[in-house]
Amino acid sequence: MAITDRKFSPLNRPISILAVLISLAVLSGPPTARAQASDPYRMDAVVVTAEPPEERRTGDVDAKLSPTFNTVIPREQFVTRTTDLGEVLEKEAGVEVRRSGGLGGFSEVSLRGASSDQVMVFLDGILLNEASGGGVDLGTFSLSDVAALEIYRGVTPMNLGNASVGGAVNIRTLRPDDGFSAAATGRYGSFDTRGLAAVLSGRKGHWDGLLSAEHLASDNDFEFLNDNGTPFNPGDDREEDRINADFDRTNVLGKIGRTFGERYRLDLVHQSFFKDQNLPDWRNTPGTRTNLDTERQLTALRFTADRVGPFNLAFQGDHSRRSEEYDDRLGQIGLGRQRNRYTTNRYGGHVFGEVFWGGHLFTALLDLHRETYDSDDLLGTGAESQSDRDTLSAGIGATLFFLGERLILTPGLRYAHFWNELDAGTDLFDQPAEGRSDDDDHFSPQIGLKYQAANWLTVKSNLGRYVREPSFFERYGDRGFFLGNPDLEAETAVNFDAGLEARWQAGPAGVQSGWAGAAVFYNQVDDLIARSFDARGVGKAVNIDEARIQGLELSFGVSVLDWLRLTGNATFQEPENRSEVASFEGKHLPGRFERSWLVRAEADWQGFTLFGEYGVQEDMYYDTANLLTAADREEVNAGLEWDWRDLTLSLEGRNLQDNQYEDFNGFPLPGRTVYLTARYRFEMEN
Amino acid sequence: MSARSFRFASIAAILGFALVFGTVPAGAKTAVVATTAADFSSGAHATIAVEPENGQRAVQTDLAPTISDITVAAFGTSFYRIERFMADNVTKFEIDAPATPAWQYSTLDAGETVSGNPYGMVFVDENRALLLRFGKAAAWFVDPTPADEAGFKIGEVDLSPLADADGVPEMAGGATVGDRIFVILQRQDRDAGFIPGEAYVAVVDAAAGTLIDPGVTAAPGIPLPARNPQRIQYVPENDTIYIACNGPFVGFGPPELDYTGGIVTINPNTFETNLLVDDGDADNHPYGTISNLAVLSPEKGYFIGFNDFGDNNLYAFDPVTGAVTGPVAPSLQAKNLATLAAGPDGFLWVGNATDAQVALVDPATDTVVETVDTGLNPARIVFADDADSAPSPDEDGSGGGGSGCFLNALAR
Repeated sequence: MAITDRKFSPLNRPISILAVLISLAVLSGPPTARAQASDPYRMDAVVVTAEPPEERRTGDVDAKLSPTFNTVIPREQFVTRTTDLGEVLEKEAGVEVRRSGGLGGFSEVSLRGASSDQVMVFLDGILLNEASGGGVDLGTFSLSDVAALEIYRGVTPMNLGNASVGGAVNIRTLRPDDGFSAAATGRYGSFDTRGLAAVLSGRKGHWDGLLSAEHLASDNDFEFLNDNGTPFNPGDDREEDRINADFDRTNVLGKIGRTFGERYRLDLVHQSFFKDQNLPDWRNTPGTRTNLDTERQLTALRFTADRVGPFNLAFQGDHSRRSEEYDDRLGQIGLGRQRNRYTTNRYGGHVFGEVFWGGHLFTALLDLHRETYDSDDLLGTGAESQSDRDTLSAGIGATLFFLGERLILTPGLRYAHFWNELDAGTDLFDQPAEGRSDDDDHFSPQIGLKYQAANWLTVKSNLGRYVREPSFFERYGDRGFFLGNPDLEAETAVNFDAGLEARWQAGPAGVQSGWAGAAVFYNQVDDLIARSFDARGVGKAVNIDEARIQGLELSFGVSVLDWLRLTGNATFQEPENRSEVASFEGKHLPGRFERSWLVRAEADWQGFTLFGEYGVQEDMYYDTANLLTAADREEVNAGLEWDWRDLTLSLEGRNLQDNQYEDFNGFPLPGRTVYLTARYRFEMEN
Repeated sequence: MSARSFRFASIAAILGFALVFGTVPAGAKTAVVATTAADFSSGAHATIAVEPENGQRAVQTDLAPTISDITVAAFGTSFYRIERFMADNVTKFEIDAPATPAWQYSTLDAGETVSGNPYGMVFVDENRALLLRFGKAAAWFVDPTPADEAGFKIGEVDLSPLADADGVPEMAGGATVGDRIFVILQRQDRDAGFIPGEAYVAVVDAAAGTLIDPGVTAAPGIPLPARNPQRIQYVPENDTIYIACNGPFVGFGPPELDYTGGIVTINPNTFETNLLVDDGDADNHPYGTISNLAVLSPEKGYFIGFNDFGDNNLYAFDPVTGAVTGPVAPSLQAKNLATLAAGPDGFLWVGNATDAQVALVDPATDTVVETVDTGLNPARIVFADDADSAPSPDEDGSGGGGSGCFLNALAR
């Protein structure tokens, strides 16, 4: 399909459109009333933040000061509704989530057309992307202990240390409340989905603590149309329940903290996550027994010291361990019988410091981590390998205030040094495998600008250069019929964005408050790593591609007549592949929609909240040559929530039209689903 | 008009019609090329007219897009696209409507839980073919022209007596010689990294659908003096079967098995084997491994020497003496060469997966005389008869025997 066949896209002149928007906004003057600091809608590019953020601690990103186009999604927006992290994220502009199946299945996030392994995912600032490769599986996270989700498009704040070419998502977990509080949540829904969650939180004197636990399970046996692997033969199609897609998971988070006076604080955090996931095969074959067990243990000890002289300091040591055991001993999904265990251990620490000096804020961060990746063949062949990566990251940044703080500049510079090593080991054929090592370093400068052109109007822009270091898999080819490529270069990207945000109080037709935003982005990715295969079917990662991703994000929200809220966003993007491969050149990067938009209405009445959503996603290809077109999709979701004293009941339906879609070719997603959630809260003042 | 005049007028009209509209030469063929994306994210097929018209070849690419793990086979005016691992289906197309499936059927029995991984079809005649299933012990006899799906599978032959310890013999290609089908078996060990074991050729009675014991060894098959057979071709002119054996992929098997491939010949009457071209050993392997072959005539054959990832060369060899020349075709050196086919036009058709082209090599000069873009990378080339040609089997190994191409080749 020729690129020129595509429908009109606003991306043809994104910068011009933005210029027109800015001009119109400025020329039209402010709305009838000026924005106020107490505005319940905190304006970012696509943000609806219902409640003020929790108390900021040293090292946290301050979204108010950051010029990044970020979104903070507070717990209140999802705690009584979904349990799916991806589902929360994908409703924001510029965010796409692809799933391989129903709840709990593999899912990955893309920001502004970046691939999932270009997007950094953090848990309380601790990096979750692993050197072994691939993006972070969102299906291995629970929302039960999440306080907020932070999305950083294009630019990764200096506070998060590591950065990559595709932006970042930070999952911020709950922190203990004042006094004592408890909450319990029960959930039941389609496909025998059932879950229980509880949170206890308290503070007594200098001590505080939190304990959160969740167990969630689902049969995931949703009905779909199975074409029997023969799409040209409707005669053998049949409606079937999805087979071997069930899962159960348990997530426990514990936190304990102590303050020492008003300036010092010590926190110990531990999270345990277990998931037992069965995996369906492509043809939904009865008798499939393939399974993936995942375990993650994460521990962090953090010490903050504020106002030490002019400095605020944070020290953190952390360890994370993720283990996956893939069991396809019957050879039902992969080629041949497999039973492997993959284990990643990551440990290290970082020091963060900030100082106000001369009316400006300066930050510095030093991060050192070691990561080991072990692969074991459990079928008794004796094959094992270990790869290590040591990473030193350092960054300095500043938040410079000018013009009475109406203009904020945020220059920053990161330096990262990677030492990679494939340890000598034993290969699948019981032969000694030669070790390899290499090292690489990168500088990543970035700068942001935030200018309050009027009380109601803010203009933001960012420019940065980012790097993605090749994974172990890409560099060493440590699994399957895949060759390593020691000459592989890191992916580099220059990301630029610019946009405006407007917000106001009161207006015509009962409008009480509102906000709107627009942003254009332009990312140029060089040395894009692609996988190439030879005639034998042996693969190798090569730097043969470039990509240019440009797009436009629009968002709005209005509050009308005290009881009605309308929000929406739209994303238009052209993720163009500029490959050396002729059949890929000029085509769209696969797995990204060209257009998507979502509108949502929410109404309150006497403790009841009724909401409805309508979302559309259009123009995506499954493959790099753009021969396999994904179906355009539209989805209607609706729900009713009732607050009565400390009890909340929520009924939510998704994909009400019962449409069948696939994010990955051949892996159906559930149709209509309905969930009922009950949550009880208990709070007691100290 | 008298009867004689009418007869004359009728004959003249028919001849005139044929002169005006009958531009497709008798025996004209069209190449069908299975194509795959470089990253294996999709596949399709392409068609290329074998005979140019007014200096132009009719080419259609990116037809009926699908997954990448595909191959093609042809018989008469029909061709068959086979979707392999986990897809497990065959789709039939007619050459005059190459993007429109005539039918598509599964290659798994109801209740089969592991992919059969169909690898090719070997034709006996227009009503009977052997469907090779790489992931199973049994190959299917199928009717390529069934009335409905129930009539597609008409039998099966159990090749498990020739399987290695994992119970699956890994059938990878076949050729029809008279009333027998010779099937190459890679015998990979699925429990240890797919290391190819001692290779065999199974001999199947095409009519009875049974395994024939050639009586060479205790096992009911022909052991090969090289491992990992990839491609088989029968050359009727010298009544010889040629098999390209790759050996294990270097780096993906025990080092002591590296370079245990070569070109093997089999006398289909005596079952005698001969290592015609040896790929060498760990210290001396002048061609790399031998991953594919095509024999154009009893005097000229070609093979792909696989040196490294994306670094392959084309060599010529004497099908009788095994003498090797090359590398030949300089413009194809150090390319990712995916497949070879003996063209009905007498040229060697080479699938160049570096440049997504089919290159035509003139055997008289061993040089590329023409290239044709295929959209995605070519992975397999077969030849179907044009609609107004007499039916004939494809010359490709998966398509069984036949002799037409050599006559054409010699005629050039």
